[in-house]
Amino acid sequence: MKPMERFENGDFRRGLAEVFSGYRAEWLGKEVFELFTEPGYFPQLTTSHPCFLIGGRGTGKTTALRCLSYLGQEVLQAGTGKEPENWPYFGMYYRVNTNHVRAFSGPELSDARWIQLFAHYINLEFCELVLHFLDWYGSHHREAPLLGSEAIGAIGATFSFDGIESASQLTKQLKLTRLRYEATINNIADAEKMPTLSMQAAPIDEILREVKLLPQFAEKTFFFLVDEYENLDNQQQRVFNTLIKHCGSLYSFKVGVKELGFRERSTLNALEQLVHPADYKMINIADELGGRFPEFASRVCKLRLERVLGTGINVPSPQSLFPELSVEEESIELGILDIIPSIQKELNINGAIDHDFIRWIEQMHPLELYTAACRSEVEGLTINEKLSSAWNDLAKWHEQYDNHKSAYLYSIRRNKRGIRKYFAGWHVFCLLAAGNIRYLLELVDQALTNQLDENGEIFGPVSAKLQTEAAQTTGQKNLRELEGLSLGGAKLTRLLLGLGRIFQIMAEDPIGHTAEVNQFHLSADFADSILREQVTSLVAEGIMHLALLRYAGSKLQDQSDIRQFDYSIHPIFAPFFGFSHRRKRKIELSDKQIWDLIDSPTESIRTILRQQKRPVDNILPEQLALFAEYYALPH
Amino acid sequence: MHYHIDEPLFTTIKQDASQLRPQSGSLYISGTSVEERSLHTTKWEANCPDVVFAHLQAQDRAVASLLIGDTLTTFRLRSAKEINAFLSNQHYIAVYLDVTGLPHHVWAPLLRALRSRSEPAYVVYIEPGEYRFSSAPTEATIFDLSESIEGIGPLPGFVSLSDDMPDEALFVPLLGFEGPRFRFILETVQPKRSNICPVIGVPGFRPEYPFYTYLGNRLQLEETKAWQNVRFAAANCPFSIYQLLQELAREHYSRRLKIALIGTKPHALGAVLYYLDHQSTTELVYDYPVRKAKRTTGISRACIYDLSLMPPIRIDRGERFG
Repeated sequence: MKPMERFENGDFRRGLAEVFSGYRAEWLGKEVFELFTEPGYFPQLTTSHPCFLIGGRGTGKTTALRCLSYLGQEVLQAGTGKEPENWPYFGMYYRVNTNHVRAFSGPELSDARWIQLFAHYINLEFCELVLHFLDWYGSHHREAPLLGSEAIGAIGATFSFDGIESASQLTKQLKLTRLRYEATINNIADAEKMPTLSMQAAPIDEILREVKLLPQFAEKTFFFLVDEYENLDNQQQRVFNTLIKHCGSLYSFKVGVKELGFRERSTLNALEQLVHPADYKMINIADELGGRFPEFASRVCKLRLERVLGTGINVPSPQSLFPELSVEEESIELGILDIIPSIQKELNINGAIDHDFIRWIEQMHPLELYTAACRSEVEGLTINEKLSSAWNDLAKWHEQYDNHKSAYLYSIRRNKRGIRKYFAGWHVFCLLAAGNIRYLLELVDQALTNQLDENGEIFGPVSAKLQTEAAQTTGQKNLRELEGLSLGGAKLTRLLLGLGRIFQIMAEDPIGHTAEVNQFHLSADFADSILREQVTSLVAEGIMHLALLRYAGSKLQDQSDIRQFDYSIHPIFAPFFGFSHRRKRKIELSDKQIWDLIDSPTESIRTILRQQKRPVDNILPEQLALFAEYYALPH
Repeated sequence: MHYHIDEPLFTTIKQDASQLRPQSGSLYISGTSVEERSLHTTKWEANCPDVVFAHLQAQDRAVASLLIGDTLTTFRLRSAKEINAFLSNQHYIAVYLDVTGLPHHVWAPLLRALRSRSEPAYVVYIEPGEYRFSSAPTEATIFDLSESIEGIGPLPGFVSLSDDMPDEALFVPLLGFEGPRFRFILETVQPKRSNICPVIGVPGFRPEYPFYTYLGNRLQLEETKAWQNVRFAAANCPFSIYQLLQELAREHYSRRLKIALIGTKPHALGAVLYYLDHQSTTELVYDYPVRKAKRTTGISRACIYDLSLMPPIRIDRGERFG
């Protein structure tokens, strides 16, 4: 019996759904640790220096932070036989809960007062984290020394607790204090006098000082793993920045934050800044993974497939599951052979006497001939003239062919039904994901599911058609989800629908134009300040939620000036619209044009296309039909 | 959903909202929103000279101002004292809180105050005639209901800072038609897939509405597999949802309930009532949607919920968790 036959499709499908569609760390529970694949940057997180781990949603921040936590290490170290007393560090995971931190603002109090209240709340939270950790450690090492009554008393004193002698009393008292505190915040306008507040960081310093006096922890490093830092408002970030700046040798911070979510650099001392790299290390996931992303992603996929299949089965590599198409092969799939007869009709080589020239043309790949025909149109030559000139300088022609052939692929099936451009191959999937492991898992999951639906195969190579359809579905799914991802989600969706349609039409009409335009930059022209502010915040939101990617422009001087960056739609959306996923050339858009794509898309798309000298009558690709109403909105 | 003989329903339904008549000597609190139904009192107020009408004039996240006759009273929403002072301004036979045109962050603190007072309290809710269909409908946005959302934040006076085991909490989204709101709340709360128990209003205000709810939230229900755990409670009955939440709390004894208020107002009302009785084991999650103008048209039935028949609010010290 072949190993594959051991699996009924139903079992495989369920297994696939479990490990691939559960691509979110928070959905997986403990499994997140079992499925963890160590990214290249991980060792940097285990040093005692504070780190900010920066990346969009789905780049693996939460997974990395959770795996650093003592609960993660408990699972990860299980196989190594390394007991907690031999671990070099202990991390305590803390996710910033928007529903809680939003309570610490309002007109009832001054900012300064809210900062004090918030700092006290963080003291309560972090001390409880440490007490939970000590409970956990104690359950593993019952013989390990515990915090003595004097130590407990000292910790209690930082909260102004009297007569506390045991850890359980401290836990109870903290719980009670938190309940009272909750009642105070809920009626904050009634609070004639503030409850007794602890000093910024004092309880955290004290509890970890006492913990590190215990022999089992003397040489250990303690981390607070703070996830979703962007959920803190600017004042609250200052409270955390102060903790990070002054954490010293007792403990350290590893912070997960979305790009542009680390908004505030100052501490509670207005003259003091959190300085990179003296105070913290910045780890940008996309930069760190960079060219190593395909290798990392391949390990992640392999581990998940092994989990579905169990041990003893030779899991195929992602490269063999998702074969690529060369540009020439793709042109055949797109039906270039249907176009060639009309080119040949124009071509007259009967009179040519150079047999090598004739043989060259006869052996020419259809895509090369098509490219020559397209170039002849641009250069105002007949096809015969173009081919003769190419023959006379073959090196120059080969360069021209290589430069244009990918762009001309998009025009082969212009305005036709069905797939107008293929997106196939492991390498292409990695480029579409752009360093985002969640997107990559979605692509793999969708492609393997498509394959199962189509022909019941589990591990045969997935056809280019099924890969492309999977990429389109994934793009569409993420576009539809965008609306619910952020406060401006609906606007972002409309912006992407507008930009995507523009780039799709431009891609399908490459002849005589700059090829593969799929980026934009914002013009520096003066716009009214309200509009400028709206566009700036929309673009920032697009970056934060991975609708857009940004690249440092050639004259980048100021990181905070959005006009100095170039932008592209995230490549995960490229197959859905049908434009190039490779970072290429850009157009300039004004604030008004950006905003009009949201408010009056039909007219705005036409205006931009006219500027780019493109037709406005392109037939909507089938996959965009779902959003046909948007494209038909009156202006 | 099982109804027990000791869990009576306290709802009176009037088919014609204009027949509504508060008791003489009572206080009637209402607000005007972007919806036609919130104006229903204008049709019958003049017939009730013995009733004191308090209309919401202005509000933000922190403060509400109500007009009684020519007198404007302002109170802060995070002040039990100021809200009680407003309600104690004179002796009322009963208090009616018409939530139809009041935003959640205004009626919820008022409700909390009413639940701890002795005078009989009623909540009034007017069902809409029709919801407005979107001019560009997609699967997730069949109706044109919300402009945007302002973001997750606690209702004034309803923050729960205790969250010992966030991964273990049971997430109970009370679903409405708008999938993007469910998506946004899921992104923020990030519950474990197995811990999501959505609630759909069945029966709906109209027979077809539960199907729109499924359609609008299909993507999220499918992706999280939460469709397997869906529970039902009458869309216009706060007491049904209260009882359902009690059931869920019993079934998931050691778990905290995180309830997302993205469905009907009566469901939100039931969840707030439940929270008031189970504060230490419950958290409310709200996304502050900005309502679209003319999101509904017409006025349908009036539902009057008699809170005075409910047992008095009890002090919850987290006994469920021991």
